[in-house]
Amino acid sequence: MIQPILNLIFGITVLIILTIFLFPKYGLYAMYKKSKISKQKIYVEDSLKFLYESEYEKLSITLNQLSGYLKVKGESFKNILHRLEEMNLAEITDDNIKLTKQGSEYALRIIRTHRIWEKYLAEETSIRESEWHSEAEEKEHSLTESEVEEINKKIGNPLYDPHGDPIPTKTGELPPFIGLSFYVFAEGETVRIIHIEDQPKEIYKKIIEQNISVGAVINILKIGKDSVEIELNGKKIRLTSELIKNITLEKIKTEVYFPAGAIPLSDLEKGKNAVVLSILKSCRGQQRRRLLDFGIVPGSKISTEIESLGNDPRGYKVRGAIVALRNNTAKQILVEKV
Amino acid sequence: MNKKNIIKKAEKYRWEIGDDFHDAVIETIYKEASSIAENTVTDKNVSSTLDFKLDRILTSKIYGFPIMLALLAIVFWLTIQGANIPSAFLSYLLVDLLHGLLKSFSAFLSMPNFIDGILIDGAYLSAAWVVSVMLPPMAIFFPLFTLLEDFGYLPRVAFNLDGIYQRVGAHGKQALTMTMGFGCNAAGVVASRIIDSPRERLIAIITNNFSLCNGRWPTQILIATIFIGSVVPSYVAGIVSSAAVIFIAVLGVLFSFAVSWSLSNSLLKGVGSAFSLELPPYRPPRFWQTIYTSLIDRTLIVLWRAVVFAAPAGVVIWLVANVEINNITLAKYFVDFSNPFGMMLGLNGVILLAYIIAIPANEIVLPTILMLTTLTVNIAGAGVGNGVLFETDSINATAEILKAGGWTTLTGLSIMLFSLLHNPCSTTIYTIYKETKSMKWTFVATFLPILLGVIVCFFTAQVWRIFAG
Amino acid sequence: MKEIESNCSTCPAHNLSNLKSLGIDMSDFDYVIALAGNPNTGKSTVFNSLTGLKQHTGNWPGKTVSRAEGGFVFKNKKYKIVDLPGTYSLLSTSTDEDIARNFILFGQPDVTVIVVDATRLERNLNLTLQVLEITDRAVLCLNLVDEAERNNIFVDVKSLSKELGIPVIPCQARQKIGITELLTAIDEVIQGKYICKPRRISKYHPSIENAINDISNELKKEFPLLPNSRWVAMRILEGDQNIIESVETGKIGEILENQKVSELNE
Repeated sequence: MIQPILNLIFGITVLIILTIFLFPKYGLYAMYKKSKISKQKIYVEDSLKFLYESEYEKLSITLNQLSGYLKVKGESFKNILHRLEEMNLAEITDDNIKLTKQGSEYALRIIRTHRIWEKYLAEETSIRESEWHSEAEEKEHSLTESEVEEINKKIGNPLYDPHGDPIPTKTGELPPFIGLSFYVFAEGETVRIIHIEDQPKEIYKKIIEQNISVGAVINILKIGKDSVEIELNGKKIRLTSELIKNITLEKIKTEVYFPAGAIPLSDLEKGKNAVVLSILKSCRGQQRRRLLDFGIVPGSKISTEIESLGNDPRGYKVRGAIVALRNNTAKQILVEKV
Repeated sequence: MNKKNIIKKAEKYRWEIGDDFHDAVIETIYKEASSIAENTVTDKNVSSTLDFKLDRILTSKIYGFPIMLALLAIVFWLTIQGANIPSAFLSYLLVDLLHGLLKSFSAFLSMPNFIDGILIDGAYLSAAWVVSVMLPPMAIFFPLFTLLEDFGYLPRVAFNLDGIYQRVGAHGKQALTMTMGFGCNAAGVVASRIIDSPRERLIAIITNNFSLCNGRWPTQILIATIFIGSVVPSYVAGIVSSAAVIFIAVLGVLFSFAVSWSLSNSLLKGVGSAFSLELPPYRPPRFWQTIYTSLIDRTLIVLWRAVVFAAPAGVVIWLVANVEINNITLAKYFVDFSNPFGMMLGLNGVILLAYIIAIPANEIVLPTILMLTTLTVNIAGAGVGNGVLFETDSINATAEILKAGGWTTLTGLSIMLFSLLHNPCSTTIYTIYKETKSMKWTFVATFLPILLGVIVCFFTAQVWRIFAG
Repeated sequence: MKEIESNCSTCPAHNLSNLKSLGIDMSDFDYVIALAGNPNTGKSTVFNSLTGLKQHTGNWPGKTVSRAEGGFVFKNKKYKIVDLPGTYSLLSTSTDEDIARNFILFGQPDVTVIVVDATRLERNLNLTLQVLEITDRAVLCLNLVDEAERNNIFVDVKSLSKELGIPVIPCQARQKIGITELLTAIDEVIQGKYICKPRRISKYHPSIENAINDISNELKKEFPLLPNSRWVAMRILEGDQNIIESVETGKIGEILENQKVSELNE
């Protein structure tokens, strides 16, 4: 009678110890692995990133600001500074700190690793969006250059990370970032105008006549072959292709604007027909490619054919075939009933 | 040098175009495809066709499930009933008759005991055993399943069941690979190819072992009859022991759900997922061709793999049971050594040894246990001879041997659990490696079930002992 | 030595050295045929009817996982046939699509047979059009016409052939109907009796057309013999590292030069 109880206690203890050791992220093993990447390296690389991003915004940084960003003070902060100088990555003049050429190259490499890893997580894994950044914050310090290139090749040389920020090239180039063209966006998205080219004069004049100005927020209604239809302050405006060439935009991270009459495919009742308007950007990677492969592209006719017991998944007829989609995917497809 | 410039230029364009290049290309191609199809295809409305009507019924909210269950029940019933006679015949032919003939032939040649043992009692006997137990059910189950597959019904099953699988992070098609697993885990693992999303495919492969395979059903039924059926009044013994076996099978399904869920939320987060399921048109299956190809493709390939693994394992089994050091067999050494650990799990040293050396096929676990038990406790008159696989003629005889080996109801229950929750057979492990091409996932698929088995058996045994004294 | 002509009509068009590096041994064969198609179109059935092999074919998408090879003899010529993995498209970075794409591009099979499902032609045309962007020697095998008719779907074979610019052969591969006609069409394309004029997409989505055009023109200047410069331009813009590297190193141009060399050697 005593023996089995002792055994039971022993067994439970072993399970608890194993959990403490192997628990993902916070377990002892995970902690040990994390601690193997030198703290010093992390601080140096984080400083470089911070300095680079500040210099990109043309801000000069004081030692105090850097110390505040890293949350390190006193002797250890001095060590970091010392290391930065020793490796010839940054120059310190009085109270200010500035990247050297070598320093900015190093920083760009870190940024490249970070953004490629984020893109990789978004495209090729099932890790949730909220975890991409923190995962990449860790990975940027541990991935080697050849590993990064391997991943880059695998995901097809992406130029933008999933947040829309550009990924520096292997040689450390970033585009002179003046914004994106209309065609980058899907119908129904909301954007802000960040730049209007003032040459040639007559085109610039035509744009201005429409009350379009830098900073204006617009909805893209329709992207056609030779023109684009937008909504500005509740007014519909048509822009010809020669006008839109001179306007660049940035994405606004807000909820997607639904064009009038658009519903998610998951709301299309059984037996009803519709036309696909767009696939939301939140549907990415393999899942998006699979939808495109099935012929679910803007303009496709689609109808709800069959429903399973819990109404999820449902079978849709598109381009002559019946394809079952789960509701969480169908929600990301906008359609218009016909 | 201009080549580099082309790439540079393209890169500049890519910055401008952004991420949507792929979408834009596909959209254009489909527009083109549309216009071609418009000019060349006449499609008179489809809603009255047979396919449509069939889908109405087979995926119906009312009839879908009952039809599915009925069809699967018929397949299983045909397999179990149909396999009995050929299995008995093959066993008579290969194990009783041919083995005896081989033995007398080698005696005639006065072959040395050692070689005769290794080759005939070891390699031949265990391979013959695997063939006679494995071949008939697979030869019935796979063609039937393939017929349903060719007809186009199986994707509808996946569609009906996806709602459940979705919740544990798996794919509806896993219902099919699991069902295949009830026939044979190696075949279930191969069938996981039908899942094209990488994460869900791995889940299906790793959890397939939780489907109680063909090689484990007889063990379950026999042990349940002896140890579970006997503790209840005899008029309910039959029902209770079948209920116990079904409970184990359902437990396996529950484990596969639980493990699917935890894998998809931990180890497999790093693997991509894209759900898609096409419902192809129904096709009248070509009966003979299907039977032919499923025999060649599935049954014989799996059987061949099993035999290739069983023969050398037979040699090992024979050696372990017959090689003696200081007059004590290797088996006895190991059994004595591992017995305390086995007892902690509610099992014993014999069972642990049997599961290790009978890794090629679950079919030979029970004969190995019987052989090892008689070997270690020295029961007079049982079996063909010392250190040779055998099966008794009646359940009672088996029960007597096991009870003489010190088995209790707890041992019976524990072995039923351990038979569900232990490593896949070596054929399946090899198949998993072939399919995943990854040591890591093969390792996980092999050791995860053992870990679960040890934990479950350990706690069951302790709790049982506390309450049963 | 034979006369060097770029359009030697009966010479094999495939690229021997590239095929070798793709793992195809051509030592006993005259021509190589690639079999492309969507999953679940009966591609493997067509493969089996051509070669007499019994590869299991199921009513399931994605059955053929690895690449299968077989051979047959028709009109005294020995053909090697390579069954490419079934894919919906050739534009992505998945392993299957890489295999299929690289084989058609670098192996330059003498004919690419595209198997399509007549019941869902429109969707299958996606892959068809993509294949036609890469190669100009192709035959369309319109499979499952019986099933299509049962579902009241009728395909006008003649005008489809005209639209695509390649031979279109209606088939019922399971009943072995149409296989001889398919073989004849393959032979005619190889012998130059049928000159394919594959349909190419002339204008892409306005957001990308300009870029494709520009890069394609640059490529033509650099590699004047490149037959599918627009497609290569598209791959570069898509970020296909394989193609980018083969342009940077000039390997993409070698495809054609090699071809001339192999013709010289015959």
